[in-house]
Amino acid sequence: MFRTAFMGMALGPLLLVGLLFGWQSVNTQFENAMIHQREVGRRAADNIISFFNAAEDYLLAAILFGDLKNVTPQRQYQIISQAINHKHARYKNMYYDIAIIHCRKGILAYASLYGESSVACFLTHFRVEEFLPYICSGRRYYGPVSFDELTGEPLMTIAIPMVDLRSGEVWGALAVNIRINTIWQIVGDIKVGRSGKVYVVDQQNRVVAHPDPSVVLRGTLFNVPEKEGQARGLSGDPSILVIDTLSIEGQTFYLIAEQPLKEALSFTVTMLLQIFIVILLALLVSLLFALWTERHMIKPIELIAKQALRIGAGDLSQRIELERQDELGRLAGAFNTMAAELDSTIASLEQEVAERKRTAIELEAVNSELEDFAYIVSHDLKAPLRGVSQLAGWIAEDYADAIDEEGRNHIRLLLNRVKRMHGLIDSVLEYSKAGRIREKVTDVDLAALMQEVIEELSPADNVRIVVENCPQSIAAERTRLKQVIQNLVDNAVKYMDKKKGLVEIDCASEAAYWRFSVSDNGPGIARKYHEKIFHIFQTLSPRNQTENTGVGLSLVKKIVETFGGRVWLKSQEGKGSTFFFTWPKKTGENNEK
Amino acid sequence: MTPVSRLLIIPLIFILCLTGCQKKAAKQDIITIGIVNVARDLEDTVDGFKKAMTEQGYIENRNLSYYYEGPLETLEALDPAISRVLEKKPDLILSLTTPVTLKVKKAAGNSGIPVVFCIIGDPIGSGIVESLRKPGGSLTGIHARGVGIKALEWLLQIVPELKRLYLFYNPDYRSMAATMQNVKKTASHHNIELITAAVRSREDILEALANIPENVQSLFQVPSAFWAPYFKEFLQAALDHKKPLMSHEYEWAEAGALASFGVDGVSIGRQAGRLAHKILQGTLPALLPVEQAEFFLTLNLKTAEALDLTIPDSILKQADHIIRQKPGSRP
Repeated sequence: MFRTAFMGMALGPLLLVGLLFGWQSVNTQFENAMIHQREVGRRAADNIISFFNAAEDYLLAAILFGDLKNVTPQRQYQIISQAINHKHARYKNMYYDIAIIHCRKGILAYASLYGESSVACFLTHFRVEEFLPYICSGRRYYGPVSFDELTGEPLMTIAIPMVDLRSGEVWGALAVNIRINTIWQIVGDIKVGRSGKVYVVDQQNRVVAHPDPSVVLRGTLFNVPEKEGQARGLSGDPSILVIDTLSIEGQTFYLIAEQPLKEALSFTVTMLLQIFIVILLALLVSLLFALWTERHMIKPIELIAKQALRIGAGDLSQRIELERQDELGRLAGAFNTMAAELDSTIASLEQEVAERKRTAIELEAVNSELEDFAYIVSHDLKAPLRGVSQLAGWIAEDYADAIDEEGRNHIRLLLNRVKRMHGLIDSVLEYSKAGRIREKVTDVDLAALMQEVIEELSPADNVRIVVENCPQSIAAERTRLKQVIQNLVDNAVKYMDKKKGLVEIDCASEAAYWRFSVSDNGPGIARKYHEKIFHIFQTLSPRNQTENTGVGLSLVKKIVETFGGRVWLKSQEGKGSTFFFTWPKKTGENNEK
Repeated sequence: MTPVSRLLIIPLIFILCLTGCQKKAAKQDIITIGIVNVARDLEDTVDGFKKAMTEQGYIENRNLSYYYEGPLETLEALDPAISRVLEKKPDLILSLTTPVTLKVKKAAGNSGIPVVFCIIGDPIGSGIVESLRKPGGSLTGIHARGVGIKALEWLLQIVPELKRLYLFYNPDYRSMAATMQNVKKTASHHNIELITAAVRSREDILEALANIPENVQSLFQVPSAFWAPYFKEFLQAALDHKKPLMSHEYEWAEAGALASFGVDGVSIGRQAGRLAHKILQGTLPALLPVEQAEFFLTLNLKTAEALDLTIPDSILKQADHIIRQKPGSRP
């Protein structure tokens, strides 16, 4: 619909402009044709009037110089014979016949161009009774056009009165039948365009002069339109007619300049046709181009888009079948490659997910086994330890008198070792649990938690523990958070070497994490041990100096990293250390490794 | 079919139609015109016809071809010549003289091939057409009706003492027979006695020329192309008998006849060419009236002088041609 609307909006104004331009061109050319035909008609009219004037002038000259009244009949015949056979090239053979008629005596002489020059013939061509009374009263006579019965040739009677110079009376007339076909040459010489014509019609609508003699000779009739302009011409075709009225001594003729409408407007029509053809050709080319574009560009793009949508909807088995070497072919190939790779990737991912699920199941199984193992091991390890501890206790009690001081010292050492072993087993057990055993996330009251840690640790009087800037509560697994803070504070208290020890617990908000820090003014830790101290079972001081399983910091690291945080420290030997760790504000984010 | 394809159909059809119309308009038929001419003297008529056709855009070997049978010189050669012309299936036939036209009319029959005739004295009297205004059928052309009458009237003016006239005619020629009727009437009006010589062959002509009555004042040929082959015989006889000869061919007056009054071959040919053009443009011959030919008066002053004849100035003024110089030079 868009394409149709677009083409309509593009072509519509173009066609409208073309129509307006064409209409204006047609009107202008029509007017110009009428002006031209009017000029042509006027020229023809002047020539026709000139012809009739010449016809009359010859008669007047014959009357003037011939002295027709006073010469012999033979001389009269010679004179009128010369008049009819004159060799003036312009109006040669203009008279069909000629006669000298006496008002009382009748015909005196008669000559004919083609017929017999006898009195008998005179009467067939001259309606004497019509014009003689007219003439003999001193008036000129111009008769209507008549047609020779035999040949169909149009003739027109002109009669000039002859006056006796002495008496002043009209004694007779010199009458001629003018051959109207002389005017045929006049109108035939005038061109109106390529096929236009000028012709003459009399009052009875008879064509009396035409470039084609046969039109006149077969008695063609033509109803002269009342108004000039566009009308059906003599040929019957739509034409431009310009009409001029000629009045010759009471006889009215219509001189018509006719040009076929098609010819008159041919330039405009040709031009409009050419413009129309050009527009059509342009439209055809545009349509062909549009068709080609649709076929070779739009459809493939639509196909690619459709397939891309299908691929996007998840049907990765779809492929764009477009075997082309151009950009669209490469695009289709790229889509197919992408779909194949997506398919492969998804398949790989699914496989990986499946493997991970299997791994997770296995891990869970392993975890479960490990938990069982840890429980069993701790239980099985602790049981003999309890036994050893109990036996050592009994020995110390029961045989106190029998054991010397050294012996009692050994038993005390034994009991310490048992205790340490017990603590080690618990630490290992805790370490193994960390990250596996999860509890519910709750809003942990930090102030209460800190207080709990401090009370459980019961630091010496010279060690002060300060908590600053900590929020009221955070969302966390309480047990694990407590373990981390407790281990760090415990280490700070445990290794304090100053008379006035200070342990500061600080909190800060960092984007998605809480940053905790536990600072002390203890002995500090050399830089070379900053990594090592987070390994399990690593201690910096001998165990006989400081009771330490070596699991605490590794446990802190494991717990913090389990929740997606990190732990690090800054320390200066002799001045103290600060342990930092981050804890996610939202559990579930970044707490899966 | 897509909307675009549907839209293509309309301009494609239009352009195809235009191309077809253009092709149709561009195609130009070769018109064939058959010409049958019996007399060498009438070659100028054929030339006039061809000139008129050329002027009207018919160019030989481009859009027009002629098939010309002539000059045949004898009437016996007419029938096979006309047959050969009709075999060519011409678009139009030009026939010269009455006998040729009558044979063409008969041979063409209802073929519908239009015929333009010329050098015809009386097409109605000879049976070629029914009417000058509406010829009907497929023939039309140029007539020379009245030439005989006018020629006699001119002779009467040139030879005022004319009382007895030796008149040659061929009774087998229908046009001459028709003209004879009018000439007799005119002669009667002017109280001229006609001594007729009916001739059908060369022998008849020679015998008639050998027996020219002494009491005739002039010799007169009823206008016809029949006399053309006997040009020299007539002129010699007129010279030998010192008789004024009224002919109807300019060449005869130029060669020694006292006068000629008749048609001009080139003019008639051109007139026939104009008619042919109308027919080839589509007008039916039946609707084309037979046109009147122009007549020309030629006077030979040398012959008049040899005959001790003085032609009045009033006559000279009306002559189209006056022979004062040696033959072959038209003024």
